[in-house]
Amino acid sequence: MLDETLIRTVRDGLFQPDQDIYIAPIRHHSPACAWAVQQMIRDLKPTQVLIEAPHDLTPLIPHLLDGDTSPPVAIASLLDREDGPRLAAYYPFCDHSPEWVALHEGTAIGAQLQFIDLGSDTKLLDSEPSSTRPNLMVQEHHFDSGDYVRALARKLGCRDGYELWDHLFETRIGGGDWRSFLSDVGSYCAGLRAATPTATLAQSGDTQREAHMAACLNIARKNMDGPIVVVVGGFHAPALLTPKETAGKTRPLRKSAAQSYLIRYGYRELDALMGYGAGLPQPGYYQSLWDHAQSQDGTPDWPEAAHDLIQAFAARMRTQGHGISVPAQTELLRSAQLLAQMRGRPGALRHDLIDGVKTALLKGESTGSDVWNERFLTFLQGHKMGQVSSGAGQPPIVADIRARARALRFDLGDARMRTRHLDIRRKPAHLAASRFAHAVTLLGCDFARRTAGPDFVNHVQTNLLFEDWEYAWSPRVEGQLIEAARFGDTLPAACRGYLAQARQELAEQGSAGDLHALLDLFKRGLLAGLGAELADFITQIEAAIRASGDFAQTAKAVCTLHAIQASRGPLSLPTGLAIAPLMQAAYARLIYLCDDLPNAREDALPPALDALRMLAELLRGPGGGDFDVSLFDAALDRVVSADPAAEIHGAVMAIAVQACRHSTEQLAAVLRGQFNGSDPDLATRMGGLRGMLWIAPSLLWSGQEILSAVDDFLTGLDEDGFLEILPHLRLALSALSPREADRLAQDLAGRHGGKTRDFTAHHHDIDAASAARGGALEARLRQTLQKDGLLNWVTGTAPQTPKESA
Amino acid sequence: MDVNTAQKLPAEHRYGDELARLKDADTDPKPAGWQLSPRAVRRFILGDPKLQISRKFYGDDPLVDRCIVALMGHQGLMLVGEPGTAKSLLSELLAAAISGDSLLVVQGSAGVIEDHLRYGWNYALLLAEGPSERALVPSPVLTAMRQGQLARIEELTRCAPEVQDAMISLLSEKTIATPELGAGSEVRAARGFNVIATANLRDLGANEMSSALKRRFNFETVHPIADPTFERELVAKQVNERMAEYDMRPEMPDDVLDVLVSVFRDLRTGLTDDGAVVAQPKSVMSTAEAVNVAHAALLDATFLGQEKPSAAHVARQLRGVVFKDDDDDARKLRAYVDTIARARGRSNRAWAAFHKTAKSD
Repeated sequence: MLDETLIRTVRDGLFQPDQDIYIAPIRHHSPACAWAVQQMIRDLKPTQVLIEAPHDLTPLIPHLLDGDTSPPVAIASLLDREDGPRLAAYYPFCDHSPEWVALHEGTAIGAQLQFIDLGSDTKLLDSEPSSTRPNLMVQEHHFDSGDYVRALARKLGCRDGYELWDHLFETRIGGGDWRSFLSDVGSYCAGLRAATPTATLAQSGDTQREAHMAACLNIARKNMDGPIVVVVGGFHAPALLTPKETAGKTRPLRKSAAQSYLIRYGYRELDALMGYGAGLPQPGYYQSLWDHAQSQDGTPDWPEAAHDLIQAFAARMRTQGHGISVPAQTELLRSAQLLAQMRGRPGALRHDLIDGVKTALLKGESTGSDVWNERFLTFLQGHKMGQVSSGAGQPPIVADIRARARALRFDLGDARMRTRHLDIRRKPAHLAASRFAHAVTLLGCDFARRTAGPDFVNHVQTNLLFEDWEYAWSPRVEGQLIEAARFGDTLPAACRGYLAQARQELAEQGSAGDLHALLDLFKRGLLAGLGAELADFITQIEAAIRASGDFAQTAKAVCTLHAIQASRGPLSLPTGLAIAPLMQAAYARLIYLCDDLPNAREDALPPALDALRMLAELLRGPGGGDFDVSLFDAALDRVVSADPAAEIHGAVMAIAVQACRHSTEQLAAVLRGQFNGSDPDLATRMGGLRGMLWIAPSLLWSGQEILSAVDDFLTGLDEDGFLEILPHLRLALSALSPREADRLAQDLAGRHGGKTRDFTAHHHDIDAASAARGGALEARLRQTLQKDGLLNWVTGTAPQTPKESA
Repeated sequence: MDVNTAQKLPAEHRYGDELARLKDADTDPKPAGWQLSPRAVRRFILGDPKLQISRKFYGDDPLVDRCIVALMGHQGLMLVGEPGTAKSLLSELLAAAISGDSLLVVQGSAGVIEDHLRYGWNYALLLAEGPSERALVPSPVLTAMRQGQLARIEELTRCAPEVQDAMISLLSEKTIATPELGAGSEVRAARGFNVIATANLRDLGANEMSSALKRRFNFETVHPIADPTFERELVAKQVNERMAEYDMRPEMPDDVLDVLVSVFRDLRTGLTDDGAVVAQPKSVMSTAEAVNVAHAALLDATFLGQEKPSAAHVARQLRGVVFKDDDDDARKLRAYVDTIARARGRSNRAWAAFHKTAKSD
């Protein structure tokens, strides 16, 4: 069919008085469409209202119409499959949804209401489950993409399909002529359809759905006289013009295997731009448009609507401490209205207002994520949360978690506290149970508590083999899960949602780039078994790495990432989730940050030295093969040549000596240079030694050059100098373990011709009385032992003088 | 002006025909003092196939809308953004379309004094006749006020703060007092007067703008071109235009051009096409700088090396043209060469050449 013919056919066929069938082509959540549908039903007083929604949801209509239910709400459908994960999808409603309006207006005039789309089970099976967002039973991608929309948008000077839709249709909200409005929506959608290949229609299941809707329409026509209003997505309207042909031999209203519930929904979830919704973005804006049209009972007073919106925005900002001056508000409204005028609109629409905010409030260079722009978009999104009547059933996440818990052999029979001992490394079923428990804990739910076992998040006792858990199912747990239902409908989805929110909170606290916190969350996600679904996390960690300016934190991230990469236990990566590129990016960033080491502040030295030691261990160990060590070596050489702090210099040289790139003589020369330097502060002259001991204490005795350098320095000091340096020396040597200290003492004693014992401290400040008392005590002890015949056994072969050591 | 020998003609001459056609076809209401209606101005800049109007500004149509609307109000228009993003071109086009005159320009610099924004004197006449209308030399801004036209101030942030301050009263009162011509003598702006300023907020040597002045301007940021293919075309076109001045016409090979544009885009955005992160240097990595590097690389290859231009020439010029003497930036470039360029060099000869030369520098 020629495109033009199709458009004409649609215009002529939408309203068929001879059949008493009236088709309302709509866009979901469009207030202008909702307005037209409202007028249409009031005008025609149909006996039946048919709505494009899965037919098996019809029993939920009374719950939707219940006085306690207030939008935004959604119907959640769940389908359990034998050969795959459970599927879930949502059908959302808000005040300005044409479907919602049709339901209420239809009830008001006593019309029979019916949903006519394919069952939600078929829709669930047809849809491709997405790992990152909830699945919707409302699909509208046709409106925003495709050549037709792009070409039309370009022609009318609109930037995308959303602006185009607003420009063409939302401007007409409140108009009295619903017939011409709906005909125009029909024509527009016919254009969209003409640009869509037939093969795509069949592939996407649209053909099947349209046949079902047409069959329902035929039955409705047969069953009852009087006008029928069909509220249907504009894209499908052309197929319903000739229901008999479209339906063919389709037998509609098969029983559905899916379970459906009515749940609370929020504007955040409804926002098409958040990746959750279909329909129009920023529902808060359209709600205000709808409210204005309703209060005027016709075309909204456009300037007043814009004015109210900006006033409300300014008031909100004021409560948040970001006042907008009156001249700025005036300028904002002026620009928005002039832009609208220039673009040929009756009043400022969403994009005009957004442009107005950019013009009036942004002072300085825009970076693409400007704070005022973000604030305004958040404001337009709205924050309304719906209510659901109490009779409407249980949210799906509770059912999901109960089912999972039972499958993993958690006993939910009563609320008693029970324990599980899990062999997480050898038994896959136990690992799954552990992941489940971790996941539920992640959601902030008190179902289970780990009482023993490895702590991977804090890296404590990670080599343990077993995990012990205490758990109990209680009404409290159920309450917490209902709370968590906002994150998602299944356990993995909710965990994903939780992590997304945790990340957002980090961002709101200004620490979106906190690598440590992000990696913590990432590890918790891995423990909860989210696996490959953590892919989008990697992007954020990558951004944090890119922005990281902290050497120590980045080094820690490299080590953590490497540990995860190498982990084969509960923390192991699933196939499909590669963090190697991330690890390499962190390593590259680290190499880059190495050049900051020479300028490190004094308080940043200890963490930097720790980081250098960790890295040296990682790169020298078996993990070194995963990195290009030559880059690190070259970076360290640059550090040396950039005159770093003495500690860093010593540490870096020590790493080079360990890697056999420098000799101990070179390191000794550096230390000697510092010892014999002219710095008046003796502590500074010991910095290199401190740095070296931090990284590799063993260098002190493994080569004679270094020990003799240190020894020469100390012996060259006078008494005052030595006393001054003593605290620093103790600090430097505190890096040694007792064994290492002992070893060093032996070496030193050897150099000065003696044994360690010769240098052992003796206390001489014992007065005569104490000595006499001690002597008496010893004599008694000796006597007793002798009496028992134990003297030889205690003192060995020859009796010794007991030590009076401290 | 001799239109035959001038190096570059103002926009109202270059596009005189288009402006005339637009004026004839313009039926929409015009703000006072405007030559064209706002919609016709938009068509002039963004093109209109029906009237054979060429598109002159690419990338951000809503930005042009906002600029036009800003100029209809009481506030001035401030175009900001990195160098090389066609801010001045946009300002010239707006002035040509709205006032029919894009030559009322003050070029901002440290040497600009208040007189350049207000008025000066013809001292011979001043001495001979005393202060008179005839002896007064108006600034472009004063002329624009008298005639109800747009005045352009380029690089406003390069002017000293006290000179910028002169703009504050000028923009809020829309009047310049001329006390020398008698008590109460002043020039009040005719309707249609407004100011388009361009500024670079990040460059070294730019002065901070006071918040009082900021309040009197609507800011619009002109961003670099987002589409890589288009940027590549633009670089090739501009380099060819520049090379046309020389007798030899060396062509930059495609793979070398790819390397050049990728290097600039990666370093500018901090992200490669395949998602790897890159430390962004402070140096300006605009399209205009890419053209400079390409130009220098071609000259190097053709006149000094007498060889085929390669990515090695690009690498050599990148240091001199872009990364002038900032150690920190050199570090970032090294990190880029060590990781991204090196990895790409394993499978691509142009990148290998780039990596080798950049590494040895």
